[in-house]
Amino acid sequence: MSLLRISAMQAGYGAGDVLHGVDLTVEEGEIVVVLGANGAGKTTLMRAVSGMIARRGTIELDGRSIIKASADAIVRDGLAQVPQGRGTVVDLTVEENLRAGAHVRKGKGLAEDLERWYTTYPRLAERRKQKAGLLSGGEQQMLAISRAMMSRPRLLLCDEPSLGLSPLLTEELFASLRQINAELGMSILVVEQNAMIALEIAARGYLLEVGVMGAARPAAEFASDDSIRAAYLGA
Amino acid sequence: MDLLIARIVDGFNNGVVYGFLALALVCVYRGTGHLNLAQGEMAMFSAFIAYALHAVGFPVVLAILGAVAIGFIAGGVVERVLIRPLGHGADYSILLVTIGLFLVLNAGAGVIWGGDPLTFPAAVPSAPDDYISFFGTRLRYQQLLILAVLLVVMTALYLLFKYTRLGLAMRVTAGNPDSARLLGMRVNQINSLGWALAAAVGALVGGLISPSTTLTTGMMFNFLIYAAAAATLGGFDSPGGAVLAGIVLGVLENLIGSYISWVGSDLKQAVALVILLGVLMVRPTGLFGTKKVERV
Amino acid sequence: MALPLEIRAGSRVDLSWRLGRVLGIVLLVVTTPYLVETFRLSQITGALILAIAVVGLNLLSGFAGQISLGHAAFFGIGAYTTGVMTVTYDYGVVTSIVAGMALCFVVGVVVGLPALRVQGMYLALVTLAVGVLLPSLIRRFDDLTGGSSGLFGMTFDAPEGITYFVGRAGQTVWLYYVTVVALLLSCLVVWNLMTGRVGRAVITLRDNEAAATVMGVNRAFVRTVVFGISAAIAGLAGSLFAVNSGVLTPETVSLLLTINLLVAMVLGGSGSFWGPVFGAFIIYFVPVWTSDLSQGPISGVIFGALVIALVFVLPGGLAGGLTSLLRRLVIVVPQPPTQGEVDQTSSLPDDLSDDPAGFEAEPTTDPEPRPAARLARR
Repeated sequence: MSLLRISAMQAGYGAGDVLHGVDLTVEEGEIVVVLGANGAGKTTLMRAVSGMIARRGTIELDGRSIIKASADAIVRDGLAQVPQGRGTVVDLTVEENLRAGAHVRKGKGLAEDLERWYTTYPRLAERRKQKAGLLSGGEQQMLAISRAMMSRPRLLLCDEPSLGLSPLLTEELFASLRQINAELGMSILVVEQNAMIALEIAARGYLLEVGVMGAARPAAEFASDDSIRAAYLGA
Repeated sequence: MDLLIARIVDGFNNGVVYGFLALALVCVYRGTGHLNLAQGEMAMFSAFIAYALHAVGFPVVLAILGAVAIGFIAGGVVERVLIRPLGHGADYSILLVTIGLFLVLNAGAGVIWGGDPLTFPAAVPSAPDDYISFFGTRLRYQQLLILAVLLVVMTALYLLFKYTRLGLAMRVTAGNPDSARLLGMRVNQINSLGWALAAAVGALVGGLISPSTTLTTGMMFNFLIYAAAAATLGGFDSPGGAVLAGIVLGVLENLIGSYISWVGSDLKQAVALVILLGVLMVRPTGLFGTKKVERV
Repeated sequence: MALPLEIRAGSRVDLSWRLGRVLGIVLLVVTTPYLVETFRLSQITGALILAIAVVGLNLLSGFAGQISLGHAAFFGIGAYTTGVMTVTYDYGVVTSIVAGMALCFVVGVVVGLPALRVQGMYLALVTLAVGVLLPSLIRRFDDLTGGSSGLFGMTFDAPEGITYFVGRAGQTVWLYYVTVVALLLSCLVVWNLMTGRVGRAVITLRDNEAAATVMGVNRAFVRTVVFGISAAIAGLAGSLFAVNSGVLTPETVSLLLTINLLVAMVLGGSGSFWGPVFGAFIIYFVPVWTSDLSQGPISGVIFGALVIALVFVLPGGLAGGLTSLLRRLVIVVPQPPTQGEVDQTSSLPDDLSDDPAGFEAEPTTDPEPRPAARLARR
């Protein structure tokens, strides 16, 4: 059974649907990437899965339907999202942001987890008492990922982690996602515009074109053909 | 010298009330990021409820606690019924609803209890000789009680916001509601809780000060303005700052009003407001508030 | 015939519909003095004066998005300037109105200065402070203002030799027309401001400050000058209030007035051009009626409950409610494309594509001729 199974999901904002019937699966321990150009509906996909916007169809997490669940219940079910733009609470310190991430766990094993993520991202450790709003873009992205991981999710959703980051930082960030996947067996679903770098770490990929999801393909196969370029350039 | 101390103590006592009500404003802000203009009227109404409870035979302390409990529930209900349906970002609508609530509570108290001032007994002995002498100034038991309760409430709120899971969730909700939901926080319940806490704190203020102010429908109106000023100066997210700012306002106002004859009692309030304006010009987020920091 | 009726923009029906509305308003304005009793006309003048103040507030809070809890202060500055200048120093009423407006403009610009540094709730508190300050200043300087006992004797006499305005009733009619003209001028100023370059700057600044600054909007200028103009219009209302009522006390310019103005604005429809007038009439007449229904504080309860209810029932204000009602009856559709024009352009609703101002309080397809849309079409 797939960890996440989405089938015939439609979602949008108010007036009309942005996503028209999305099918997607993520297996346990797998990194899956959804590629798409600007406006393809990637963020809508993320927000629909995490229950932030209205959606219809089927979404199952480990066999249990979460289509009717509220956003906060979905987090408790084990799905954590790193939102686009990182969702930093700027007035809180780095450590408070991380502690907020562990909200659904009611504080058990908090200290070890903090230590774990400070080890993964030493720069956060240096700045633990600083206001999170003072961090650089890259540091805020690290904070957002660790904060999501603080809930000890079964599936991590990342919405365009490369947004606004330099190529070097992006490399570093994706490397750490791969590390999280390898060390913790964490299942990760990434939506990303930067196709090449995302495909490097992913097992499978999907292509989302103006609200329509293509079929799943092995990442390596994607990287070697022209379908992405076609989708991005509209050729 | 004695006169100076007396005036400082007088101002201090007023300031304690400003700070106390400011705490209620801080609670709502912490929960929802809004300013509740009806906060003072909710406190006034609660004081009348305490009065009614006392009238049917409850001891003073129980009557006040009863009003606090009713206020807590009513505050949550108000948020649930009148504020939440308006959704996030409906600042105007929310402002208007709090104005409407202000009018309803103010006039409603008049309807139920009439326009004449009522007297509500103090929780501690308050005969003319129930005071502690302090450099020739009388510190009345009731005033000491208010100060003590204020310090307890302030500390409790500080600990709540700073060290508890719930307090952290309230701060995240006020700072970034979307993130709060993505972290599994029950944003709606947290908002209700903020309003409930605020109403409870307000009820406590109302019950404690009504022996000295007498119970009228207008008793909280001026306090609200000072409290808003104190909460602003203290930074809306800092309980200690709000209380300190309230006390500083009260003392400064009284000293300037007494010693600068040009100001006199008419412009006392103006002094507080000019201080507010001045501080906001220099430090837009108040004296103790966290500076909004954001790198774009 | 099936509703809604469709009317082509620019067609004869559309033009006569527009013309009809203008004529209707003119007819209503001119006949009102004949239709109602003198005391009622005086009340209507009172509501119109309130409407002027709401138009001023709407410019600042509705269009520019800056909440003001202190507009009663500007109303009060205008009122007391006229009061003190005409009663104590014997200046003409018109001179005093101009002086009051000028003073309000200056004070408005000064109060607008903090708006450059503080936003949202903090700005609301700054303006609240100003609003609360004025009554205490009036009490403090009672040798000039009459303090708590009030300032009396302001009048604005009709020019002599016009029989229409002779006598007590004539005087009421005169003030009515003065107020109508003042309201019209205020609306025109706001209309002109908001449909032009400045309006676009104001709206962009409200909706996205960073973007506006990048686009070269002079933030300091727009914020302070809009504040000043808004204050001056409120001051004009205050001056007229002084001569209409003849009595001024600090209570007349208390926070309650600000609350009434705000409620009127939102009930009418903030950010709409004619909403303020509706809102002002409600605010003026609802307390009159509720106190007719029942005496004492119960009318206050009804008023408050009504405010809350209207927020829920008519979130876009009356302007929003009426336009969506009208839209069910009549729709003005854009001109069909002339030959050779690409079809896509006309498939967009006209307002969506042409309206840079983005009047949020009003629905997108709106029978009211949109000033911005019309300008762009030309």
